[in-house]
Amino acid sequence: MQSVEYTDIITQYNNASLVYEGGQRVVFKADHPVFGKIALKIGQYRSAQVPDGWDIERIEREIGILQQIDSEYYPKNYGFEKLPDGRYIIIEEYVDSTPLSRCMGRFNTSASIMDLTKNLITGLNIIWDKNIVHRDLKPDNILITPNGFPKIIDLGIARSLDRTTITHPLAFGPCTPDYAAPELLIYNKKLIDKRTDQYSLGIILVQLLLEGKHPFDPVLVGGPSIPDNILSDNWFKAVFAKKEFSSISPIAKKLLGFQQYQRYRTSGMLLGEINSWMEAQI
Amino acid sequence: MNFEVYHQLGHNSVWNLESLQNEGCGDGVILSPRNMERSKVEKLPLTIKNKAMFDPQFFNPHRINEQMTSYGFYPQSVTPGGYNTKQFPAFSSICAEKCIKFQEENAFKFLTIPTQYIKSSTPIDTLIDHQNKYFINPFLEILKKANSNKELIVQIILTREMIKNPESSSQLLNWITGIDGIKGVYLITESKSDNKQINDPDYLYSLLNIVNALSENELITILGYQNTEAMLLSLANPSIVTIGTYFNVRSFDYSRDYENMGEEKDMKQPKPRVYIPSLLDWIDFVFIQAMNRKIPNFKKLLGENKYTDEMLSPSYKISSIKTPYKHFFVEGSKQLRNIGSLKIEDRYVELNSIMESAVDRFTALEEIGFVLGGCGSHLPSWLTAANLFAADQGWRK
Repeated sequence: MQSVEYTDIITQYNNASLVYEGGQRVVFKADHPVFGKIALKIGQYRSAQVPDGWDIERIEREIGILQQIDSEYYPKNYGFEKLPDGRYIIIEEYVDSTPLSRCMGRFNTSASIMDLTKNLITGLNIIWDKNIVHRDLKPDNILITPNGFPKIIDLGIARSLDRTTITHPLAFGPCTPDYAAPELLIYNKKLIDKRTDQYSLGIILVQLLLEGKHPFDPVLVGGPSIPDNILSDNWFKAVFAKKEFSSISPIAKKLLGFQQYQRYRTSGMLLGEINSWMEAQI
Repeated sequence: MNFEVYHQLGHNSVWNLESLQNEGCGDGVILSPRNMERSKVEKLPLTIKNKAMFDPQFFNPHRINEQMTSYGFYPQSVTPGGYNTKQFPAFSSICAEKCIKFQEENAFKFLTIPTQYIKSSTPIDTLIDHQNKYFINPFLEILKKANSNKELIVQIILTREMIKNPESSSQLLNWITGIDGIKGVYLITESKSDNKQINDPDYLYSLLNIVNALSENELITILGYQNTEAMLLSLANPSIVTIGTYFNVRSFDYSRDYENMGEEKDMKQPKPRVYIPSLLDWIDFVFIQAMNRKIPNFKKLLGENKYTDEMLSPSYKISSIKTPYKHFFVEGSKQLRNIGSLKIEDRYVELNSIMESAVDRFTALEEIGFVLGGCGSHLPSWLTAANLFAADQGWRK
């Protein structure tokens, strides 16, 4: 059974092939007469008739952000339409890629891990400069292209720091708890700022050093769960006992500062330290 | 990194200015509108203004004194009918615009965003919301339009309780370090010490950690209203520390100095005291001649300068506290510069040695027969705070 009716839409495009089919959303790869290869996302938004549809506010927020950005670090958005029949269409740049969660092994040296980290910071800096916090940075939301370049996706819960409120129905803040900074887990809205994304980046950095193992995993450090360990600052610092990683320790420890003031105040400071690390390797 | 020494101006600021201009004591000044009306500030030479920071002293928005009315930008002045919390947000941008314009026109080295004194009993979230809404956001908005290239400094007051409570200080540090667009912090700390010198090791250790956190965040960290504890706080790598004359510019106390602003009675002349650098303390002037008689090389301990010669002359009669203060500017700034010239970890070794020598000297003075009240009683607390901080930094083996 087809989850979302899409035939009437895809027939307007050449070479449409199904990439993903989920509950309330389908994604096609297709040719667009102007934009070339595109990702065509067709879904149903939440309504009285479709209570488990996608939150239209969330979609519109993501589209709004992507339309402000013209960067190689984010998929380009070419268009969005909310149809009166309860469906929406998103037309995006098609990115030939694999989520980082499925290709961590490709980053198997300090240099490749730090290079990816630097790219991610440069990419995140584009939204940070616009006073936007991603709030859901995790390996699933980082697409890796065949040449190892990251594209950051899923800005659906990104928050403009200029906005005064954002609604959320979750026990934690709107986030993925295993990659969330302590202030997101306790959902202290006033504390959420650009440094909140640094923490998630810190988890990803150490996870890459640990060959895919989560640094707050109870298997490594005990404790009841990853979020509980995040809230008690209990992570596998012993990773830096390995000589080749010891020089990364100050950067990772600062990214994973429990309090925001213990992290980098500006992205310039963070990039400066990564650049110094890279220069020291030459 | 080396730090600078600024004069915290107050009453009789001409002494500070003479000391800075004629004797090279210190690097700049922090101007006090409470003690200097607008026209006097405007007439200061550019050489002073370019090395000056303006302390807006919005501490008590309900009350200002006569000198402060001459500026025309205080919340009390711009809000029709006088300051009140409900009405002020509608006028905060006028206040910000006028205050920034004044600072820009006078070409001060920094631009300062003012702050209101908030009591310790106020929840930190409320304090942050208040300061953001009433001062920081309106000032940042105006500054964005002004497109100024001056270094922007936000003034922050921390009470004793805020400093000693780790949860409060973390919340405040998270807030301060997250303010976009600022280059530094003008930190005013209220100790409410029952001693002239702060003698609470936990307070001092906590304050060292706060200053260190600001400096690690690469913020210009200006420590205002400092007494001799500026020496101790140099361990946390501040950018600017202050020296001053009267006790009200060397120790911030809201209820003593600002709560009833505008109703000041004539200031009583303080008891003359002299700063003895080798003791890291101020001693009542009446002891000086006897110390000179009994202690070999006392002049060296007191610091060799023309004011020492003057004060130790048998014919000298103290008629004004000007000479002891000018002596302090020479010796205090010299001592701070010496410690500031050292690498941060070497400062601990040097300061430790100065403090231990001071303890020994107080013991020796007592053995000779001097009864100096509580003088020197702060030193064990200072040593403790320095040791605890040094251990955290890995300087103490």
